[in-house]
This record gives sequence, C-alpha cells and structure tokens, in this order.
Amino acid sequence: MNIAIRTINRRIVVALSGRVVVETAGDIRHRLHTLVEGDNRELIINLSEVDFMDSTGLSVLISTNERAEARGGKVSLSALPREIRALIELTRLHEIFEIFEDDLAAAGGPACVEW
Amino acid sequence: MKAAQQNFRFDSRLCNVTDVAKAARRLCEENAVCDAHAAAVELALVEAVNNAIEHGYQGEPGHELAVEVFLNDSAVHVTVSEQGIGMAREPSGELPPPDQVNGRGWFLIRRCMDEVSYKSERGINTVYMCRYLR
Repeated sequence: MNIAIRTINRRIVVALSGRVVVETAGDIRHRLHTLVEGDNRELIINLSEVDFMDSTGLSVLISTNERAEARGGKVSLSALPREIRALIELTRLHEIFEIFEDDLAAAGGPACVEW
Repeated sequence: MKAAQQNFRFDSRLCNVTDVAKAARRLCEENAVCDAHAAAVELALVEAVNNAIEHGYQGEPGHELAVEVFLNDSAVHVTVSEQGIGMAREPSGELPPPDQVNGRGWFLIRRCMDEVSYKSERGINTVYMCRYLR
C-alpha cells in the first residue's frame, strides 16, 4: 500500500494504491484522519491504483468523511476502477460521497497542480 | 474445466489474509473462472477470514484457521473454519445505512455468494459459501 499526496486547485488529493484492507487500514486511516483534522477538510481520494478493497477499507473512507463533515468539509472520490465502483454502489456509498471521473473534475476546474 | 482444490492452514494473523485471498483468486483464474466470479469469491473469502480472526479469535495471533477452496464447472465452494468464539446465530447480512462506519462484512459475503451457511460443531465454527458459475 502506498499513499501519495498532491494539491490541485488548493485541494489535497490523496492517491491510494494497492490493497485497502484490514491489514493496511490502520495506517491509511491514521494518514487520512490526520489530514482532515488539519487544514484539509476538503479531501479528494484517488482510487485509480487500488486493486482490492474490503469492508474495512470502506470503513476508512466513511470515517474520514465523517470527520471532514464534522469540520464543515467533505471527502470526494475520484478515478474509481470498475470493481471498486461496483463495491461503492453495492453498499450505497455513492449516496454520501461525490464521485468524479478524475482529480481535475473533483477539484472543480482547470488545474494548478503542485507536487 | 477440471475440478481443482486448494487447502490452506495458517496462523490467525491479519497479514496472512492477503496471501490466502490471492492464492484463491489465482486458483480461480488458472481454471478459467471469469473475473467477475473470481473477484466476488475473493471478497467473500477475505470478509469471512477477517471475521474469523477479528471475532472468532478476537484478533489474537497464534490460532489456526483452515480455508478450503474447491471449484468445478458449476461452482466455487469455499469453507472457512476456526476454533474460536462461535456465533449464537448466523448474521442477517443486512446493509447498514451509508453513513454507518462498520458492519458490511456479512452483507458483502451474502451478496457475493449464492449459498452461505454457518455451523458450530464440537468447537469448530465453519462458514460455507458457494458461488454458482452460470
């Protein structure tokens, strides 16, 4: 599991890769919660390189969004692979997350990317 | 497709779940099970093994788990067995509200598999799951 962070239009984009599962969830949860509890209550999570997610991975996304919303922010998801999109829709999480085709759309327009 | 089977015995550490899940998926792929079926079997297996470790053994390493995967032309059969704390009854598997943080494991197992059953006999707790290949 890798986590890469960049900024687009002053929005933090966190790109996860590999397996988001019970074994890796603790580290990911800590990183994401730390971000939203800082100055990054509007978070974009890019899932394009995630090749497997279990229910614990879903829990990490939900709890991060819960913390963001408590601070007046939100979490958006971008670039979902087919299997991950199916999992999100099956569990009706598209009702609480905004889902975008890519990071640029999630960040709301022409990009100013800072690596 | 010929019938194929693989059995796994491993310690109740969460770090072992991925290896078993990948091996089960590889068995499916090597025997021409399509991606959609293989992905569903992998997810159900992961959820069942996670439950066995986290609830059956309360997250403690040092206990044995057994997983058997058998497939043929018509179905993939998976059993997950442990000797930890059994369940009083089989969970319903209802989908929780979207904003509820936990509680989707059994829902996913039931949605991914066509048959699911749980039994506890002589101290051995077993989840049996079957996905039809239609």
